[in-house]
Amino acid sequence: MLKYIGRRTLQNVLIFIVFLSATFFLLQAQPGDISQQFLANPKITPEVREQFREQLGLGGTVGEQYLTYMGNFFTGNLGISFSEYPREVSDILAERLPRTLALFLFATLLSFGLGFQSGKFLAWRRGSKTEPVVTTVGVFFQTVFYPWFALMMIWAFAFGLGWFPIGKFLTVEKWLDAPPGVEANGVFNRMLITALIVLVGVAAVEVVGRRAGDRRRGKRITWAGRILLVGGLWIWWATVWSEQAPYALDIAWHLVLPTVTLALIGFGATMLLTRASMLETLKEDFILTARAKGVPDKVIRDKHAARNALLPVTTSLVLSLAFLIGGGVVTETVFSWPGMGATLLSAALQEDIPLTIGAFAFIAVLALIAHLIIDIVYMYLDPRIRV
Amino acid sequence: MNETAIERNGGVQSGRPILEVDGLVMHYRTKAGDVSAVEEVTFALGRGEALGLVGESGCGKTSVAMTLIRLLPDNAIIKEGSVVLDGLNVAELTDGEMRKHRWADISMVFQGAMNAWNPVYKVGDQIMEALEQHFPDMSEAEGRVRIAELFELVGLSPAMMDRYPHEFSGGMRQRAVIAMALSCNPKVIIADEPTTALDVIVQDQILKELRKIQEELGMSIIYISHDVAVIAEVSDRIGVMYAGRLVELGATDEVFPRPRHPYTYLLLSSTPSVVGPRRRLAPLEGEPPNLLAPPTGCRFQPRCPFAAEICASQDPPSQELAPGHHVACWHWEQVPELGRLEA
Repeated sequence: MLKYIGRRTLQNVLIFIVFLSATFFLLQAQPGDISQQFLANPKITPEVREQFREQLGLGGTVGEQYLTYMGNFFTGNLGISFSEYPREVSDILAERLPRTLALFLFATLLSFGLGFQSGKFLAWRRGSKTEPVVTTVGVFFQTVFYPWFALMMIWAFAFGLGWFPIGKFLTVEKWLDAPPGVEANGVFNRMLITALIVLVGVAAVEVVGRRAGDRRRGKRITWAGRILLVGGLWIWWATVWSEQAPYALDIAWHLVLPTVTLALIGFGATMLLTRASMLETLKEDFILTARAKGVPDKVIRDKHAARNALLPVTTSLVLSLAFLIGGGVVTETVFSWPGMGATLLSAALQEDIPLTIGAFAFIAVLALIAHLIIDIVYMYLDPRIRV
Repeated sequence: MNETAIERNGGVQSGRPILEVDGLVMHYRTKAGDVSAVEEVTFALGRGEALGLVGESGCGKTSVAMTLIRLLPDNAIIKEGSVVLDGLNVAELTDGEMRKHRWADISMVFQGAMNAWNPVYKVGDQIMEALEQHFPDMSEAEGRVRIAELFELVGLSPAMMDRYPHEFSGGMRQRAVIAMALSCNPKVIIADEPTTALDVIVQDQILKELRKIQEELGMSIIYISHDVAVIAEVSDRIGVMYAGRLVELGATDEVFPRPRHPYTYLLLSSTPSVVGPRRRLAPLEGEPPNLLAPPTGCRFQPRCPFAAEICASQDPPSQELAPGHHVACWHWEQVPELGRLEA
């Protein structure tokens, strides 16, 4: 197991180097550079422009620049952003990466959970009257033009109903008189850490419960663990971080609409795939065996059919990661969510090469890590491919 | 019914039969009309007896089995008849009531054991699931002891219970399926093509072991197979099915040497035998009838070399030729001894 993870990590490092190089050369292949915006300015002579380029590290051949960049990158120096001069790229990314991570994480979990559950029921109650309606909704979400859909969501829920803010990361007025220790990135990182603890904790408690030996005892351990985990974090926020809590709620309120929108886009595909996969599984002989054993229908549905139907859906999750990242760029732009996607877009448009490559690099790292996690989860789900 | 059912057992076992099927009619409702899959099937299974049901694909063998354990698809309807399992008419139970009796009273060894296991759970855990369902008071440790016993009984190492199905060979999977079928001490076991997916050597081993276990435990078992040789090896009595009907029923050592129904005769003539005299194999001409619109009169009549007018107009009743030997044919006297028919 550890050997497998080690091997995969090494593979991923190699993939990453190839990816980074390709990104570098692709960006270099664009015509022009950032100095061109001074082209029409009569006060800036070509000599000054050349000097400017030299200073930004755009002098020399592409090969020289490449070697310098790679050398700097792997020694932890991502350079300085051109467009947000003189902020360091790593500083900008450290601020925005968590925001994108949160968006992706919640949207993926929501769309996967929702899609899987509804697909499961759809297959189980095949032929019901709601089926064509739900299937049509699924096809709609799967095929809708995403930017339009995001705008419609804003129009309906933010502009029309006013339930959610129209965009942005926080309500500025509310934060003006925030106490000195409370600062947006700090609050947001605390929220993200809490969410990660819940996720990892729930998974860990589940594993411990499974290994408890006795099934009934295992179930009790699992439930006790879940309650302890959520209760503990609740108390922690209510006491230690009580000052931050109302501001965290403000960010969470801003997070809802983009997350739901991104989740809905992925939801249709997951639901339809789960439905198809579940219908196939229900034809399997082991379903008949389970029925013959006198197992109740609900257990057959969840423990036998859905558990096996989960496998191809998990595979598709890997494939949909790329799509999700693309969707992330659009979501962040439409909702003015200052994350990696929005940063990437504006940096690329302004030919801010260090920031663009940096953003690409970290999106790649996220995708590779997500990929690795899904592979490990898949191994856990399917004993046939365990190493 | 009770007395006749005992008589029909041919005196193999005394006492009331464990399973009595009387006049069972089961149809599948389809858009094209009703498919008459099981028509007027009557037989009884004595305690400790092995009954073999044989016939071509689609003749209703598996439909009978599925009716007994009540695992029919939604479009199946039991139109008439009763299935009395140790005094309980399972044909009248609701699905929820039947669930309690499945496996605990009547279990099944499925065909194609490859897919009978859920690939994501350990084999032992899947047997445990049945135990948990029917013996809720049994602890996990007791369950494991029980599974270890069962594994030893079917010739598997008890350590295998913590392995996944894909780690088993085909033969081992089939043995484990048998262990699972035995797990709740059922009164009746239905073995539906128990060895079809296996090579002949493993097939033979497993059949011998099943026979041994059945005799040791005094189980009642119904074998279902299209393979006459398999049925001959393991059954005390044999029932031959054709197009949803039970055309001949009798002790194996009576039916095999001297079949009385033309279909049984042709079926046996088309099957090579390693032992016994060499004879020409006679192919069985024609196809089984379309059960959406079965032929009038005798269902075998369109393919039967002995068919006469009466066959097309009237359904032959089941007659008892010798104690326990039943045949549904108008012209059973004309059926020659095996190997004598010149086509």
